[in-house]
Amino acid sequence: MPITDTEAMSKKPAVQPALHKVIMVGSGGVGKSALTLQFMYDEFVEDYEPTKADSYRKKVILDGEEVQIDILDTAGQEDYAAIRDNYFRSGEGFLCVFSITEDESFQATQEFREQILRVKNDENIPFLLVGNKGDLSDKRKVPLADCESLAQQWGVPYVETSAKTRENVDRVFFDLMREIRSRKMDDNKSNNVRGKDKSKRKKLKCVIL
Amino acid sequence: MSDPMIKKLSSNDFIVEKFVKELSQHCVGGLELQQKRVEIGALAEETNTLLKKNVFHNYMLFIETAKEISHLEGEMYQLSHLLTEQRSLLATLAHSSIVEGVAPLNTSVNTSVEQDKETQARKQLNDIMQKVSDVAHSSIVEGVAPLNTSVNTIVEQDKETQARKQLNDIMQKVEGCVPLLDSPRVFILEGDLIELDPLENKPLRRVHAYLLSDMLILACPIQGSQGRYQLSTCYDNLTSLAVVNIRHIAAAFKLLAFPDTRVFQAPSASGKKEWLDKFEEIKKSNKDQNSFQSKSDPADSPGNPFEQHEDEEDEEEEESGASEDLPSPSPSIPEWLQEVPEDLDVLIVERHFEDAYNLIEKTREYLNENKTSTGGRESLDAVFVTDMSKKLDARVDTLTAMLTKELKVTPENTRGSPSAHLRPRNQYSLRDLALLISLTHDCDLFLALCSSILRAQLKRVSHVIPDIPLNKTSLSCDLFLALCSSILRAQLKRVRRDGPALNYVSSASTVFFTNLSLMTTELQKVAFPGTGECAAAFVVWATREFNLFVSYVIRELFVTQSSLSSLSPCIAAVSTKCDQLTSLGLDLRYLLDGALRGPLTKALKETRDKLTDTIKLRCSEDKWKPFNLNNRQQRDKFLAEFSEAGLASMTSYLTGDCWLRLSNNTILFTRLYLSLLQDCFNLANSDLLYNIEDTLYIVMQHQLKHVDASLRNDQLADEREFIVQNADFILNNLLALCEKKFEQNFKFKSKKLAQVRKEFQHLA
Ligand SMILES: Nc1nc2c(ncn2[C@@H]2O[C@H](COP(=O)(O)OP(=O)(O)O)[C@@H](O)[C@H]2O)c(=O)[nH]1
Ligand SMILES: [Mg+2]
Repeated sequence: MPITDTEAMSKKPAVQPALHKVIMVGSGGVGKSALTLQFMYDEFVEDYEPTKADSYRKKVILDGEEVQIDILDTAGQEDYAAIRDNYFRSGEGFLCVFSITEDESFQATQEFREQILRVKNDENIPFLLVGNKGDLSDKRKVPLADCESLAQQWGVPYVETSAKTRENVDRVFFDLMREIRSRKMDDNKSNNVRGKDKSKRKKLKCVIL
Repeated sequence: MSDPMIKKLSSNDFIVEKFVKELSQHCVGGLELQQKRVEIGALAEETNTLLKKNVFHNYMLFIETAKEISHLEGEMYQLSHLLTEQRSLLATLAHSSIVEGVAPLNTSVNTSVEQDKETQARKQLNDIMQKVSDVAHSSIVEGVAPLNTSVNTIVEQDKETQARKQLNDIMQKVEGCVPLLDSPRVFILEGDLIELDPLENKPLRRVHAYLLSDMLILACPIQGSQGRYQLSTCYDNLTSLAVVNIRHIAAAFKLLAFPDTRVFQAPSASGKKEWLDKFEEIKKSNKDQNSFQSKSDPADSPGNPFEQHEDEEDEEEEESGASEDLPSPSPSIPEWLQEVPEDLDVLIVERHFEDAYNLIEKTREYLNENKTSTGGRESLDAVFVTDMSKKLDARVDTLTAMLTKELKVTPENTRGSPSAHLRPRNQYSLRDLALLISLTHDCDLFLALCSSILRAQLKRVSHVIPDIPLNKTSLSCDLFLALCSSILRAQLKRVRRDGPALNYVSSASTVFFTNLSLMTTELQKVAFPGTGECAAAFVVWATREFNLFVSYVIRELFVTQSSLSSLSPCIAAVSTKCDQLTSLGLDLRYLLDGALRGPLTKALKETRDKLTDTIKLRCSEDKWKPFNLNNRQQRDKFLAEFSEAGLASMTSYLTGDCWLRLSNNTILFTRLYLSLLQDCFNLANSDLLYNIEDTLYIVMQHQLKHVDASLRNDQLADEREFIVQNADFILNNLLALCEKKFEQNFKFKSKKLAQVRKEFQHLA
């Protein structure tokens, strides 16, 4: 996808709006698809259908600028590490979702985080820890303090959402897009100043004199 | 209105002229006459309403009666069926001595052994099926079927050459193709795709893709030479190829193989599904690789077809008797043939009737073909052939007896308990058949095969034991129905459950009702024309299958608290299909309505609660501010949406360019309510009317209560005028529209909607 990066980062107004690639990760049943569908189509799906790997794209206005968001909604687990890595590689930012009603899903985020860091080889990859099903606070199993301290430990924001009431749904996607955008801008700068690209495979051919 | 007047008007000797004359005589002056006229007018109106009410009342009664009759009919059939069963039971009892001669068979089979056998049988069936389809395929592809092709010559080798041929074809068609014959791969799927630009989704080029069991080959058509391609990419590690289903472009999917992202579009949604499914299947089968490899792998022998031939012969010694083997060109008796009698005994005892039947057929054919020497082949030893034929005949008799026993009520059974014959019939006699069906993916082929098996069985049953006065019709009818059950259930099982519920329900109903109507026609017109007792059995059977089907649908639909809008199209789909059966004389609608009443009532209630929750939440945030439509485009879209819904009057609430003198909350509620109403229409049947009206009432009431409270709220005093406008909209536009729609749909006025109007009319 080198083309994409170049496009997104070029300074002159691109023909195509910038594309930000977001990946939903987290155990099955935590509401990745529900969040995605709520964000995409303003609807809440009650039925639980395991996802394999679905991709969505839509144009949105991010701080007054038209951009495209590309969401890859993944399955909770993937048996082949190589395939999983290929999913993760294609992402520029991650929403790592768990359900506040399920401790296991919270514990599982650790592994997702590690896998992503390994694949992206980048400690500062745009990443949000998302505690979903906030509407079910009476069934809460994961204390807020735990969530916040984990996020702090990773140095990422923590947000609680509800795909059902739409609480914070837009926020997590937009916050993540902002991080991705600012990351791209940073990369762009540092690339222009000097090619001190840390083991990155970006074939940038921007010539600004 | 005076009673005498009605009496006069409705008396038998009423004459208009006379009445008018009398009136004009009695009345003094025009005023009094006018008075009379008003009275008569009112009377006319009242009579009219009465008449309407009566018609409606009678109509409901009529429907009720029709339903009762349907019930009754079902019961009559059930009775008739029971009687028929009783009669054949008595017949069997009378001749029990004959049947009992064959009865003592192994009943305490070790379960684990049985299971082993079952898996083995399953494997064998699978093999057979594959071979059958290969033959079908090869005769089409090659155009020539060898003259003396018989089941016996269909061997693994054929399958392998077939696979190799396919791979060779690909290598020939694709220029620059990698060598494909170096490992035991098989061809899975090919097709034309359009590659899209991953960023802009614009078509880039046409590609032709081949999916093999371990690689994906992408090739570009070569201009000017039809059917020839140039290799473009070869992904040879499918276990690292990530496949993504693209939801926002029709029929498209994505392949992620770092650093490539490639987007492809199939010619149709079903085409895409096939690609995704195949990728998934390969992934699954790779996962089960251990078990996969432990099975004998036909493709693992090296290239030379001549060498291979010898290998096959060696292997033959080791293979079990029941599977299809290469016929030896020598006259020596193949080992499997020698084991046939024993194998048959085992199969019969373990009730693998289909296997047994197939083995018998196979043996017969083999014996027939090798009785005399043909085309350089020497004949089998004549003594062996006679001996074997005798043994075979004995097994045929046993099998027939077993089959009969299986399907009839056995004397032992009945002796045990007097009501034993009321127990559901043993469904397992055709278990293997069902297995067969569920193993296959080629439905037509399987149906054909099943019916040929069935036909053969029927023939056997009727001619091998001509002197046992079995009730042949009823027996074969039972067999027929049992077969139908297997087909129906197996097909239903195959309907995929991973899509939206609507997909499942409509595919399942298509499968069920199409099959059912086919079976009905088959039974009535072809198999057993004009036999009443079969009709009875059929109706009982159909009712049972239908109930099972409905229970599947219910299980699928009502798992989680399901939304009405997802339910209603599903219910509508099933109901329509169900109604179509009436044309064949089968009315199952009352069963459906009955079965759905409970869950639907619950779903309605849940919906009601959910909606009132939503309303409460939204109302708590209601700021009573005009609604901003942002720009003209959005405004026009918005107005179009509502005028389509029947609220063209929305235009009159516009102020300025893009503002609406209604609150956001009112708009949201309008949408919500209209969609609720539509859902209710879709679900409606007379059993549910009460609940539907109640739901509509309560939801509307909640919103209006909020309006009412807001009007009383002093803090909102400044917004009073605006609130009243909203109330007016809800009552006189929305509610009025809903009342109208309700009447159109149900042919009567909703009392509950009228009631809620009355309760809140003062607001507007
Ligand atoms: N109450 C509630 N249920 C949710 C929420 N998000 C998802 N669900 C439900 O949880 C189940 C699993 O959601 P899904 O999006 O398919 O999970 P995924 O496997 O992570 O994609 C579904 O039945 C959803 O309706 C939420 O925020 N609140
Ligand atoms: Mg999902």
